[in-house]
Amino acid sequence: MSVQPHITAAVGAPRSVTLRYPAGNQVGEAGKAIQQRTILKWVLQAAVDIQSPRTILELPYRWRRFPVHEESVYAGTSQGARHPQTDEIAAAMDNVVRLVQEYKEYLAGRVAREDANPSGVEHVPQALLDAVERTDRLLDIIDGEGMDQLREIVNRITVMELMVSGKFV
Amino acid sequence: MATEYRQWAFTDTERQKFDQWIARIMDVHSGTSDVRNDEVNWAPLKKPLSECVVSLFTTGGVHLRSDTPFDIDSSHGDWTYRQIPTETDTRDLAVTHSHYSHVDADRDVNCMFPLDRLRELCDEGVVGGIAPMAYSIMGFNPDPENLSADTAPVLAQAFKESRADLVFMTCG
Repeated sequence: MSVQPHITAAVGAPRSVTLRYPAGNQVGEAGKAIQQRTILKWVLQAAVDIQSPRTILELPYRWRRFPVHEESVYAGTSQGARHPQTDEIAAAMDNVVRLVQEYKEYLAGRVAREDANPSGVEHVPQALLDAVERTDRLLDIIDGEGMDQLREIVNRITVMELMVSGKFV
Repeated sequence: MATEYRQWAFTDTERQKFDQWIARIMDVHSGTSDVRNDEVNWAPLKKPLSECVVSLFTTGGVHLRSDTPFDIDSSHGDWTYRQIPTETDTRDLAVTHSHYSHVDADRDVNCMFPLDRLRELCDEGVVGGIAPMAYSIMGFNPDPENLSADTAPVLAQAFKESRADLVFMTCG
């Protein structure tokens, strides 16, 4: 399993699964057994599904928590190198994702109503469908590429803070 | 289930990302060697997952608390390995690695080395069994020569002798 698929691909591995989670969290968050079990099941199934060497499959999950979401049993024990600004950026992006998802559901509902309306205005259903497609692309940018960039920033910051503290040799 | 996977593609952008990363690592760590696999071995599964004996391997620096920690002070890394009996209580595991944040793994090692989760899947019948021993290394090795010449063959043989059909490898 890899969280840096560009390295795995360059070096060459028989079969790999990647997901956009931070190093150290590739099987999920601390204390989240259901999440961990789900990821592990995916990975084991991939061993069956992958049929040719050098294949890398990506799991359909995105890391969205900066810092990691605190289970109550672990609350307040975080010792990691954190920049609170990234937490705020992530929270804002999460909120945008939620708003876009809600808007997409609204648009999809309008599509259904227009389809059921025999006296509707021509071209409106198609315009709504186009808008639904664009909200999907918007989600992909924010929740995919946007969150990826934030994760990369946090990873680099974590390593930098380790270097500053002398713990990165 | 498989339809929800997405094939990850090694695009020019990803190649560039790797080139930049290896250049940075070579700059920071003298003696770094960029080794690629010209050939990739392929061993298809020969039985259903529910009949497979599974083991774990990690480069995340996991070890028994009672065992010798990995050497994280050497700028040349540490290519030794540690044995982890799969009957081990995961509370008796520790992580020694200074190249990633293991704050979460320190609290719950399963987020990186999912031994408890594997036991649960074994109880559910998703996998057929768990090999008696798992293995761990600490992945910081700028020059992988010793790792590939000394450690890897020993571990490959150990997994083979443990009759593991499948080894799940995680990185740090």
